[in-house]
Amino acid sequence: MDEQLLQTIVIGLSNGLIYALVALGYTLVYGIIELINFAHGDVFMLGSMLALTLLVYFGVTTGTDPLTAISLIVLVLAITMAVTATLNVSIERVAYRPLRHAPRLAPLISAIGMSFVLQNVGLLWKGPANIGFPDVIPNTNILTTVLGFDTNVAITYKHLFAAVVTIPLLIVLTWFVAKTKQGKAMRATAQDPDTAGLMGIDVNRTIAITFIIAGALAGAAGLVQVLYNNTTVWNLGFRFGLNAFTSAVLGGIGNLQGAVLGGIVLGLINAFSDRYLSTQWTNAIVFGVLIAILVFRPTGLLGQQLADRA
Amino acid sequence: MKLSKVGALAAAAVFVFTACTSPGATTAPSDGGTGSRPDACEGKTGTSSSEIHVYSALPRQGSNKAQTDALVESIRDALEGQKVGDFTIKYTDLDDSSAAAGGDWDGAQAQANATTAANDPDAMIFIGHFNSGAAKLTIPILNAACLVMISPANTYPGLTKEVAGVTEPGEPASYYPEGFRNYTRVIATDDAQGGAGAAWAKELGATKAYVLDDTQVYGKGLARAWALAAADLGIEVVSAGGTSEGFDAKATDYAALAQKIKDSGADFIYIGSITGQNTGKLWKDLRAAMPDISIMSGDGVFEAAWYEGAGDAGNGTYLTFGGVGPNEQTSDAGKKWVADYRAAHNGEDPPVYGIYGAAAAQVALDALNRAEVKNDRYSVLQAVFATKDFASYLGTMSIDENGDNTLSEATGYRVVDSWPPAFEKVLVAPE
Repeated sequence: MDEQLLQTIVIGLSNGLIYALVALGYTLVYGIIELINFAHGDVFMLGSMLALTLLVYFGVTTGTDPLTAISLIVLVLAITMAVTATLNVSIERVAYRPLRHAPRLAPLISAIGMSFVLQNVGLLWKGPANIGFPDVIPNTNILTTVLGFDTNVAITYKHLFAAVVTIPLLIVLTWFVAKTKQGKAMRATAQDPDTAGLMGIDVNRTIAITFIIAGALAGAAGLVQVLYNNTTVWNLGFRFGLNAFTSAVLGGIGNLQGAVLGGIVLGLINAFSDRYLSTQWTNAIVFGVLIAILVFRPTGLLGQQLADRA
Repeated sequence: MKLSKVGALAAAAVFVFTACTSPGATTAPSDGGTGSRPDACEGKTGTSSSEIHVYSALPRQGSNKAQTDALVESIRDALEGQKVGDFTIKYTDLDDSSAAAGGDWDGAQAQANATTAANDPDAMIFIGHFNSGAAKLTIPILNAACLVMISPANTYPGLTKEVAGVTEPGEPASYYPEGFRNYTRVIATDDAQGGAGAAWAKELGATKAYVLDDTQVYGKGLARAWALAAADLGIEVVSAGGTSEGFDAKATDYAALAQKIKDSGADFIYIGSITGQNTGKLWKDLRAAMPDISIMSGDGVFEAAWYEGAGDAGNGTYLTFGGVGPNEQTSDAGKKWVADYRAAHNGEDPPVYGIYGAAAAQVALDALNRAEVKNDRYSVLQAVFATKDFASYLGTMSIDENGDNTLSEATGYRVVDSWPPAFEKVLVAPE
């Protein structure tokens, strides 16, 4: 196959996996309480700022010896995930739970409000400009330097990193929802919260756990953003969140595999439009495709699964 | 946030539209006769018997803050509390940026600034803006209010003159609905900077260039001017349409764009942009795909905030400045200004635009001193346009009937593993 085409696919796939990581958070929460948690993108943004701050604090930079760097990154990952999980569950407690039985628009508005609050926290914390972070994960081409292929196609450590983080997370998450007792409680709550309550499931606790998982995912995605895209900014949650949310809808909101598939499709469309058309057309094309898919498949590529599959 | 953007766009569209449809040629008010006083200037006389107000409108947050801190400081030092005739100057520092615009200039904010100044009867001079896009929106407002504007930093040619292939149809007449000029600047325009940059790229061995811009007034104008000059010099421009190609500043990454540039076989990239347009990510992705390619950019990213965003990816970048940097000033007054700045800031070099702010304030003060009626807007406006052979920090300078100045030097720098970049040479635009 044409090398240029292959390279575009590699770029699209790895970007898509990053979108998917954020999309999983949207889809999990929607699956269980049918709320589009607009604040999710901003929790991700704060996670990226926290991860960046911690990485700088621990002195992780381009020259750091790999073993030290990896252990510090794992430590930063743990701290970031813990903080964003706490943040997300607090948001649920303060802004969504009191509105659980209010008309549907009320929690939607409080989610948008929460999103603005978090954006402003990011703005106050780091200021309005983009903040850069050095390439700790190198842009070295694995195909030529490690595997010894003679090719112009580059698969770098960064591309590998996107796959290594997202794919296992998806597998664990799917297993968790499908096989564990807690997962069963989540599915039951998603299907019918009142009946689930009558069957002895603590609905509030189950929803809180969903927010904890989604928050932890946002934190992990935040760290990945810093290491993969090497930059963050206060309105990243809006920019990136829009792509991630679109991925979730594209794949079928509420559906875990759908979110990943949607992310990959979106990443590929983005990459192909940037490569073969112009970056200025990309958003128009992405949303054009979204409209086309929703017209023919209103529930997205894989359908709304979490609610109807128990 | 979205709505305010739409509002700003609509307002901008209305302004441009009304400006476009207004009849009348634009002439400089150089004749000085009282008989030619434009209608818009009738009754524009101060009400205070002791104060004259000078406003500046600059992006006071975000990535331009370091530059505008130096600008405001130099303007304040030069003007605040100065006596001209029976009046004392009172200076007000306005902010034309907003957090919603990522700390960059915001059209609605700039227009609000201009309206504030226009509505203050004692306002006699408006210093600004930093960004050509902002000036484009406020020149007509100030034109209707007969208030003169002096910009320390706008380099887009279309604000004052027509340049084929660079400016838009109808420019610059569309900015002056009242038919007279009220906008001046103390910096050279981008047709000079773009041309000089292209000539330098040719010397550096560029044969095939990919030209990008941030789609804003400044970035697009500069990149087009560069592409035009480059093509004249025999450099093949391979970006879309043989001219500058816009990049989406809101994109989350530019890996595929970088791949496209790599596949085009370009050996040189030129970028017309301001720092706040996601430049850090753009440079990182370009460098990741093409570690050895030469990249050149203009004065819109000539600041520490750009280098902080781009990091190592910024190394090796050639930067042009549409003027002369602080360390390359040749006049004694200019050298002294730089030395004084360093002494007051623990030996730190001033940002490149600092001295241009000081020069704008110098021109303002000189004009106020020469103005026949010091609290009459038209009188002050005429005095600014009459600036001739004035010994400024930037050297001897005159302002022509378009509002442009007689300075035309540009300078070239290269980033060598740290900020600030190293001075390379004085650039000359090809004839």
